[in-house]
Amino acid sequence: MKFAFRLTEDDYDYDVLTAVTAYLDCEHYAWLHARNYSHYEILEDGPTTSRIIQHSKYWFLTFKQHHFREYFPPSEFRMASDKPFPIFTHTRFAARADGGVHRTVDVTMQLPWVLWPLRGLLAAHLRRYDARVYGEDAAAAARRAKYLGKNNWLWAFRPSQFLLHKDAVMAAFSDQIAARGGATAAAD
Amino acid sequence: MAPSQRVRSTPVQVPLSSLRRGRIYNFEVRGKPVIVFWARDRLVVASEICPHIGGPLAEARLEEDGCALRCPWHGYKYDTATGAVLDNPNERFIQNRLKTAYSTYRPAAPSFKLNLLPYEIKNGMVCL
Repeated sequence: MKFAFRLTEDDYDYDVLTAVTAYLDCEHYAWLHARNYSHYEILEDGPTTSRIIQHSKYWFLTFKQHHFREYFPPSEFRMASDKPFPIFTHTRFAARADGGVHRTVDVTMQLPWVLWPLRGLLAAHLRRYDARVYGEDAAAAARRAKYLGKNNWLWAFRPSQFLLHKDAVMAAFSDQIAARGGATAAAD
Repeated sequence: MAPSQRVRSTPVQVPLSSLRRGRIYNFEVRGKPVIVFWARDRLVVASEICPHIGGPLAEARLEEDGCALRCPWHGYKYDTATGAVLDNPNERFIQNRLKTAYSTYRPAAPSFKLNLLPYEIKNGMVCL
C-alpha cells in the first residue's frame, strides 16, 4: 500500500554546494554516520546514477539495503531502497535568498498491509532518523565553517578526492568553483 | 570531564605525569584546538583539525599504540611520526567498483598531512 509524505523541510545557513558535496561524499557514510550505517559499498556507478549497498540500522535491526540513486544536477536526488520494504526518497536543495539552503525530502513507501496501521509511527521514526543523520552532516558543516571558513567545499574537488558523480557536480557548479580558483585552488 | 573535552586557554602547561597512554587530550593553544597523546614512548602534539576536511581529531581512534591516528569522519589514517596519510579505507570500495571514467578524479595518496606541532618538556611539564 502506497504511503507518501513529506519527511522534512528545513533550512541551513550554508550554501547549496556545501549540501550537495556532503550528500555525494560517499566516504563519510560508514564513518561519520557509523551509528546508523555499518557498511557502505558502491556496486555500480554511472555519470549520474549509482547502485549502493548500505547496511542501515533501524531500532535494533540492521537491513542490508540496495539503493539505486540518481543525481539530477545541480541539486536534486532520487533514491530507491529495497529494504525493509520499497522506499523512495526525493531530496532537493534549493538556494535561499540569504545564501543558505532549503532542504526538502519527500518519501514514498510501499508498505505491506500489515504495517499500514503503523505508518504514522514509521514516518515519525524516519523523521527522527533523518534528523539524527542530517544533524551530523549539519554539525560537520558548522565545524568546517568554524575552522576552515564558511561554505568550504573546495576539498571535494581535490584531484585525489572521490565524490560520486564528481564530473557532473563540477559541470553544474563550474561558475562557483571557478570563482574560488577552480581546480588549482582545490589541488591536494 | 572526559580528557577529550578539557579545553584550556593559553599558555598551556600540562604535567607530563597526567597524560595517560591510549587517550587523546584536547587543549586550546593560542586559540587553536590541539591534541596531545602518547605514541609508544614519544609524545605527539598535533592540530585537532583533520587536514582532510576538518574532522575532530580529539575523537579520533589511536591505533598501533598511538603511532597511527584514524579520523572519525572519513576513517583516514595518519602516521603520527610524519603526519602522512597511511590509509584511506574507502578506496577499497571505491576503486574496486568504479566503472565511470571520472575526468576529475585521479586516485593518488593525498599530499596533505597531519599538522604536527612543536612542544617542550620542562621540569616535568609539557609546554604547548
